[in-house]
Amino acid sequence: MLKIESISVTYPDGHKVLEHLDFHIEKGETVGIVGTNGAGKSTLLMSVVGILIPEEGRILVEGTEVCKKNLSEIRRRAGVVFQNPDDQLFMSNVYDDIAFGLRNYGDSEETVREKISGIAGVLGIEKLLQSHSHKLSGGEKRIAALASILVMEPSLVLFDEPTSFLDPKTRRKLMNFLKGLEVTKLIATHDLDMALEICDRVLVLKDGAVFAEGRAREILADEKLMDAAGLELPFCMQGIE
Amino acid sequence: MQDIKSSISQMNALELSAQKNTIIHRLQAPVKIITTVIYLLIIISYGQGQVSRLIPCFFYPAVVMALGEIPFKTIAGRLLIALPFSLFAGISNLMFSRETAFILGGIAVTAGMVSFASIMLKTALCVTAVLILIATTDMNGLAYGMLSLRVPPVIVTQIMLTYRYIGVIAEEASVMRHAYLLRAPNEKGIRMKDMGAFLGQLIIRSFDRSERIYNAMKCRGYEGRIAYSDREKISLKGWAYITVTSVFFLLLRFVNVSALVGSLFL
Ligand SMILES: Nc1ncnc2c1ncn2[C@@H]1O[C@H](COP(=O)(O)OP(=O)(O)OP(=O)(O)O)[C@@H](O)[C@H]1O
Ligand SMILES: [Mg+2]
Repeated sequence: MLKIESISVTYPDGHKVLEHLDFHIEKGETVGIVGTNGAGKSTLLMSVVGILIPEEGRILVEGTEVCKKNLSEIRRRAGVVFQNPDDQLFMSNVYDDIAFGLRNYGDSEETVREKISGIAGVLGIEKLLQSHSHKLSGGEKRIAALASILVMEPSLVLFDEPTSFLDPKTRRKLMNFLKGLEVTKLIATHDLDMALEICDRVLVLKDGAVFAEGRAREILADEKLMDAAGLELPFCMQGIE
Repeated sequence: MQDIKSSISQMNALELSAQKNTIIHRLQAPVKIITTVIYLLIIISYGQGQVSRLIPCFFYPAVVMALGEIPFKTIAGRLLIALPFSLFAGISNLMFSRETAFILGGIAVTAGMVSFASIMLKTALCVTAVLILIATTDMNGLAYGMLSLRVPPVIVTQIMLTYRYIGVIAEEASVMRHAYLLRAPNEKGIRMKDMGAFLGQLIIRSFDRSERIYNAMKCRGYEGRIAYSDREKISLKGWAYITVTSVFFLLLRFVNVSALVGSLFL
């Protein structure tokens, strides 16, 4: 599904962020990426959709290499839900925002209408469709941003901190939704409890390289390993003694 | 600076009124764009001394505002933002052309005053016409209208993005201003000595933010031009509207309406 082969990514200012990073995801898997601030999680997600192009190694999405000439195809298959929904919503109302990607890929207005009403039903945001994007609450924005990606029916969805800014109830709703969402998911997060609950596997990043990788239950429960990566155990495992 | 939030909400007020459903709102976007452009050309074509001839031109915005149910306040607020710019252009006229043009009630009116008045009036008319266009047509409608008038997509996209970025900069400025004032409780605004740093930071932050927005757009298949909903041809009704308004504008331009009305009563 997603193969990352020994990539290195350097920002234009010379800051080397990822170094010989290697891993792959199978179809249908949900994989978490955890790591301290600045570990390179967002950078990794941006490389998968070709916003950043690695200077070494290569990335394959369903067998297609991420490179200039394939970008349009890659971005149709892989959607990114950004860390901050404000960066993602830019049309004047929610409907047009959700329609943006579909229109870019040449869907007819009728198809656009059908698909939007479908996704709005699933996410329960029919009422928001005509609202102004910047008048929504943080949680509503997040759901709208999610809709704008899912409406394109990607086979791989990358999430950058999906649970940030959410109140506990909305977070719970989102988590349940993600659990039921049958696409391959790669989730960069600091919310280790969420990672524990919904991810099959986790990847621990440290200083731009894979520090550990394995089943979520094993990795996240390993106090020594987590400590060495600069992280803590998920709250539900810290125990109250 | 004080009212960044309120100018954002003013921008929204204008956009929101574009969502209404009146005769004017229902006109096709290209029709409104063409009419507005013709109106602007007519206004610009008036000479410097023709102040009294310009006054009847307010008729058009007045009628459209009434039909389109556009609140006067919304337009007036934005108009006030634009006028100071032409004020500067106009004032130089006041200084340079001092010869008397005519005597009104015993006061010598200089040629400078006349052209000052006509510059201000022209600005007011043009800006009002454009504001009305925006207040009756949503941004996508405008974009698509321009496209169907064969405006190059690159330019349309630039206009749309500029519009979007103005919002971004205003939002960033408002967030930063709050952050500043929360830590400088005795200040009413940003101190002059901090202004340089503030503005520099604002530009960097806006660039960053724009970059992230641009990335998000690329992730959803954006390739230099925004795809808009289907184009439609201008309908017969649309052409009729354009013809009627244009004939009206031409009448205003070439027939001295004020003199005509005046002569009716004399
Ligand atoms: N545009 C940029 N130019 C230069 N360096 C950058 C840029 N964006 C990020 N970096 C650097 O790259 C490193 C990794 O950043 P990244 O955003 O990928 O981290 P992250 O794991 O997502 O962190 P967080 O958990 O805080 O979101 C950081 O050290 C950061 O300073
Ligand atoms: Mg990040």
